[in-house]
Amino acid sequence: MRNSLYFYYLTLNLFKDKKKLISTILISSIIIFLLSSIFFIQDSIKASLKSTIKNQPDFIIQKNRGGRQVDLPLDWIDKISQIYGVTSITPRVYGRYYFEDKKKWALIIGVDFLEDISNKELEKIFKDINLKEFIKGSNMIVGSEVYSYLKSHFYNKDYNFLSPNGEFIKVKIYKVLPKELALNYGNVIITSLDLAKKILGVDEDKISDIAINVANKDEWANIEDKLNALFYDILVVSKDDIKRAYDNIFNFKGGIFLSLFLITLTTFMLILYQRYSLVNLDEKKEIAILRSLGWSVKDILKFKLFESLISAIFAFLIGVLSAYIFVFIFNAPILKDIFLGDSNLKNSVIFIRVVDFSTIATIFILFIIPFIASILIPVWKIAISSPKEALK
Amino acid sequence: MIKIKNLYKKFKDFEALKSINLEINDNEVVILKGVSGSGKSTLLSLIAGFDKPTSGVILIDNEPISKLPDLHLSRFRFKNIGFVFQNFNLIKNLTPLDNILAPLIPYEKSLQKAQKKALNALKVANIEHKAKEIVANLSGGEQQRVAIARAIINSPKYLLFDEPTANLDKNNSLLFLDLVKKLKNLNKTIIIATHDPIFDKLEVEFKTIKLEDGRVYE
Repeated sequence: MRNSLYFYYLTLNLFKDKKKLISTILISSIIIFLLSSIFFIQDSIKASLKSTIKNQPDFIIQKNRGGRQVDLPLDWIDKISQIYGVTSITPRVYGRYYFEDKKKWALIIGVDFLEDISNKELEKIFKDINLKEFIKGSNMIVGSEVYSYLKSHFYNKDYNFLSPNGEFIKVKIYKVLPKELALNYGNVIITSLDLAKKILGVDEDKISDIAINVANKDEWANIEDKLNALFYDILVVSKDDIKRAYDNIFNFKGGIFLSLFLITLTTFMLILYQRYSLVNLDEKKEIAILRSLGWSVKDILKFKLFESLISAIFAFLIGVLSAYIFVFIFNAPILKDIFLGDSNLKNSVIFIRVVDFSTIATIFILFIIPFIASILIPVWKIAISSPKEALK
Repeated sequence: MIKIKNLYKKFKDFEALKSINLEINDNEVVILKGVSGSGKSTLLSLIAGFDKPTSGVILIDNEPISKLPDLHLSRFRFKNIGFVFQNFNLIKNLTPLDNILAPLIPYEKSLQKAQKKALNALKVANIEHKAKEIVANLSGGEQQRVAIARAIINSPKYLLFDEPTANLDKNNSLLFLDLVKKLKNLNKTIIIATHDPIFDKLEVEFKTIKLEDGRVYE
């Protein structure tokens, strides 16, 4: 390589005009950086939602009265357990708890730790905690956004909840969930079932809803029919319904993604168009000189292809790498708010590191083809004309 | 040998060359004389294969260069024709050595071999002492010698010069005449398009072809 005349001339030509090289790489890197950041965030949110859906129970049973969800009796659990095919039943208590300023709230989830936990994501959270100790005391596991809020109000170790009957309940912060789970659990407080009932004012013989799992997917429709036959006033929410709801949210986010993507791509095309229409005189002259010295059109195109490929790959690597650092290390400031919108509590979402190589390949193709074309088309136009004319 | 038969060149409505018939022998020095617009530069461009004639044929060593496809024409030009432009057309922000390497890029793989050839060419053109300076800092005469070195790097049989003394002072013009003598001794066929009377002082045997209004008057 070091003794190759071609390589020598290629590097010589690249570094001949350092200003042009730096500006080309800089502009291209910024475009790649924006495109990659958008793609990385999209992939990361997609992966988080996918894992959330995967960890959802197969069915959630709610009681409806006048189109409004109400608490349901605890004894429904026994009736549901009679249905053949149901593999696990988890009673759940949850509800919004509004803090003192009434504008901020957290979602309290009560979990029956003695029962099977239908949510696999929660199962992972509880894996490394001492359940006996946790249930015995008045403890809670809080999401990272909740913790930031409590800390900002000087509740570093515990918090006094005000129950609907005016009683203060002091609950200790047992664990803070990692920021990686903030997309789904940032504003969540997890307590024992009984404690949640006390804080939310749910009667002892009532629960908010029931999560059930059915191992055989072919039986899902059948089980849904049986549940509807058993209780006249229930709403059965299947995993597919949840998936649809998440998809709707994501389609909305996808719209934002598309707008940003189109803006970035349009800017890129405009820059390329400008380059295409303003091939500088020195470049024109140089191509004509090379033609007059015995370079064929093919030789010129090949040389310019290599030259532009080197700067394009360099810009691509800088852009992708800086986008990776921006999204996964600095957590995409500004762009994060565009994607996640305003949050009830201070947004502390950390994007999980997902790098899909097909995404990188897509960015590469979206960038490299117009980039190379914007260089090779004008070069080809000059190369096929008479060198004498181009040198005038 | 160069044979030109019934050569016509038209630019839109303007007839630049009309029915040119010429024969230039090997190792001959030919001075194409004529006022500006007489067609000498156009003829030189057609011989170099930079442009295609409207009609007629140019045969160089029996190759109809105006009919060769691009790739063959480029290879033929590289092997057989060296061209020196009136304003030299060097890449100004490179050194003479790097400028001279340019014709070899598609053909030569080894950098060392190419540099050796380039230094030899610079020596023949008496400019090897400026090999590593930036071209933009060289004088007109020096730039011309770099352009000549670039034209002869592959030892082509034919050397074409377009108004070689137009941008030179008298001293440098005389130095150029010496260089023509040196190149003729290297068995080159040289065609010079000029209207400069200084070529009357050329100390080698040469043929003058007069061009007027696109026609030849030998």
